[in-house]
Amino acid sequence: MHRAAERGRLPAVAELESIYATVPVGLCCVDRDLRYVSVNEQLARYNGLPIEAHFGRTLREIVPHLADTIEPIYRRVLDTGRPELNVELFGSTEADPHVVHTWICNYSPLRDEQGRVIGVNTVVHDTTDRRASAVALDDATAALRQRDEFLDVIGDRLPEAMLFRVLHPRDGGYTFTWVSKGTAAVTGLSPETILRDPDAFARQIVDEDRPRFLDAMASALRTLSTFDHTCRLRWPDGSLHWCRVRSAVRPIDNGAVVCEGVIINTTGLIEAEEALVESQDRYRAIVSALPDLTFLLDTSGRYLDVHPRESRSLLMPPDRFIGKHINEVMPPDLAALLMPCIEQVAGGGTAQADYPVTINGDTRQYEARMVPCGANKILAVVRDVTESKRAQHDAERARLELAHVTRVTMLGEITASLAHELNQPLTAIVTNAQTARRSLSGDVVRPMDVGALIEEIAGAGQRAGDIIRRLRSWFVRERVPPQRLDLNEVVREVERFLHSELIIRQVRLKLAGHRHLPPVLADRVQIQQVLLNLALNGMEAMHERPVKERLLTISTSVVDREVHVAVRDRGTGLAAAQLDRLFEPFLSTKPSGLGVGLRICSSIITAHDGRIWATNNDDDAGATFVFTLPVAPDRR
Amino acid sequence: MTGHVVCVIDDDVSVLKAVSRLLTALGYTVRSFRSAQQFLDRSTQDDAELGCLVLDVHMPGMSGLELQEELARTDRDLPIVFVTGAGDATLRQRAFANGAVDFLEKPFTDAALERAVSHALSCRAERFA
Repeated sequence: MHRAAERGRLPAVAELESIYATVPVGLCCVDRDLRYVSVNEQLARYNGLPIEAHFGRTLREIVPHLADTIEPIYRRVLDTGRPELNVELFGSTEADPHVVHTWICNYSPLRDEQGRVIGVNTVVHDTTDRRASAVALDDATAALRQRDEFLDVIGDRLPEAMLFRVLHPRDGGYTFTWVSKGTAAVTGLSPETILRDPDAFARQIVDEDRPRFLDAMASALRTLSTFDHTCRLRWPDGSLHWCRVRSAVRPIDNGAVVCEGVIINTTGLIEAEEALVESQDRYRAIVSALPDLTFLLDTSGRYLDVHPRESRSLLMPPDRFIGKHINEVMPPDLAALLMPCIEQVAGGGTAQADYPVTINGDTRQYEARMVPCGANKILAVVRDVTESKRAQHDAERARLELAHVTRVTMLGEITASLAHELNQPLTAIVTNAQTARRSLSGDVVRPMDVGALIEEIAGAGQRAGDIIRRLRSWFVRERVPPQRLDLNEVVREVERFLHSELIIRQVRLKLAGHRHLPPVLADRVQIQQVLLNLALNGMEAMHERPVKERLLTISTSVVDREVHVAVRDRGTGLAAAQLDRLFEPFLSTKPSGLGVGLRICSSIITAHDGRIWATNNDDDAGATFVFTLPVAPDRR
Repeated sequence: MTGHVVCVIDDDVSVLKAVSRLLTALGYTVRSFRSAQQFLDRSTQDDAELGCLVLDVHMPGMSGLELQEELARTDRDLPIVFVTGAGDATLRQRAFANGAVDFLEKPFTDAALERAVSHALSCRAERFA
């Protein structure tokens, strides 16, 4: 380069060179023969050759790849004397053959003092990197645009929330530069209002909350810290709303600060929270008002909380339960009873257990009900049922007592037929005995076979014994455990019982038993009592009827897991007023006074989880009494 | 010999057999029937052998008293000894009003039955005479 300056032929280049010495721009000068006259270091680096290697050599020799492209340009500049500016060239060089470079080139004519074009000055600017960064910028711009669109998409769809960006320039003031569409659901204002009038939002904040909000915001801007603040807004329509503003603050150029974030309408959340607090308060109030012990346990059987009504109803003070396992605080037999219940509730079910507990020598009966309570917790409500069990027991006893009394009374009603029933075998016994005696003493015309007579006597005696046994079971007062009963069999037993009564009253009994009757679980004698009572009522109702019309039908059937037993008479039927009050106590529909019996029937059937009712027959002749009993559960 | 057969009618088989055996032992010719209807079905109006009835009051279907009324309605004049397992004054009065010879309550003695049947047969003999 200094050689060219020394030659003094191209002073302009030397000037340029001094100007651009440190600038990464390639410079060169060629003469009219397109031979390099001068080259700066930068261009020599582009071309991959030392500076000295250029002098006196042609373009074609130095940059053969580009020669076809650039020679015409140089010739045009030499011919026309006009510069060609901002020519973009693509290609690779010897120095860097695998990279396609981009250059921006300016070609200007070099003139002598007479103004003749003697060469061409060239400025070459390698823009390869800049171009890459322009592409990256484009990509980044596109990505930014996408991100903004994404924010728009998200922001516009947020329920009860809005996104925002606020610019705080260095010299004070601020503007919303972007908001998502959902501003109305948070501030009651349109996006346009907020963008146009930056103070619109702050004006909405209720007076009591505004200073605190503004202070907090100023502090966040000053310290560039995250802002998180909840305040109340008064919407243009006058309604009051809670909102929570949460934003990040970051500095940008020029000392400005951008605050970006989200504003959420928390009115619903706060109301829900208040409702939750209220419901918890209510729960506590209910629990404290319950006449029960309430325990909260985890699913392993550990006590989490205990609410006794009074601590003396507990085995130990409440605080000694908490954190302990059932196995640690309950007697072993009780723990063994309760643990399966816990497991059942832990599995999503509910459970109930009845058990006695002795505290200070006083044994009381408890009933525990357990239900799932939220996730992994069990609520156990334990009730002292001693009194109600006692009352229940007393009522049961009274019911059994009354049933017994009515049963005995009912037997009194049919004394005549019972005597008749017993008199038959007795007559056979007495008569056969007399025949035998006279046969043995020769006091007869034709002696009979005494052996055969004695056999008859034994048979009749057995029969009398059966009748007595049957009667005796009727006088049983004690409660016996329910048995699995075939109601057809019970009907046949009652038929035997009624055998003489039917004959004396001249009533025909027709049995219509369902052929495959499932068993029921019941007290045999009590069900016999109900049937006998209904049958006697039916017979009584037909008393005035001609003998031929006196037909009593007892039928059994199965309807929806219930066995139905119907006792149908052909009597006078029931008046409408009677139908309603039939099973009320001490109503007698007939003179002989078995009325109390229906009340007993009702209590017996109810105690067996059954139902009882009466209807008049459709054909205007008589009534039908029906009782039902649930089919017994399958035997395991 | 006319009018010597004793007809025993009772729905209770053991009683029917016992009474029939006793009367047979005592020398009577006995026919047994399990119901009033069976008697009506198996005896004929002009059967001169029939002497009297030993008739149970309470039987399913036609009762003893109804049979008595039926026989009266058809002019069959057979003396009747009623036996009953359930004494009832009204029925007793009704039976006698309709011409019963006797009305025995179960269980009865052999002597009472023998006396009643003997009396009934003599009544029958008188009516034939």
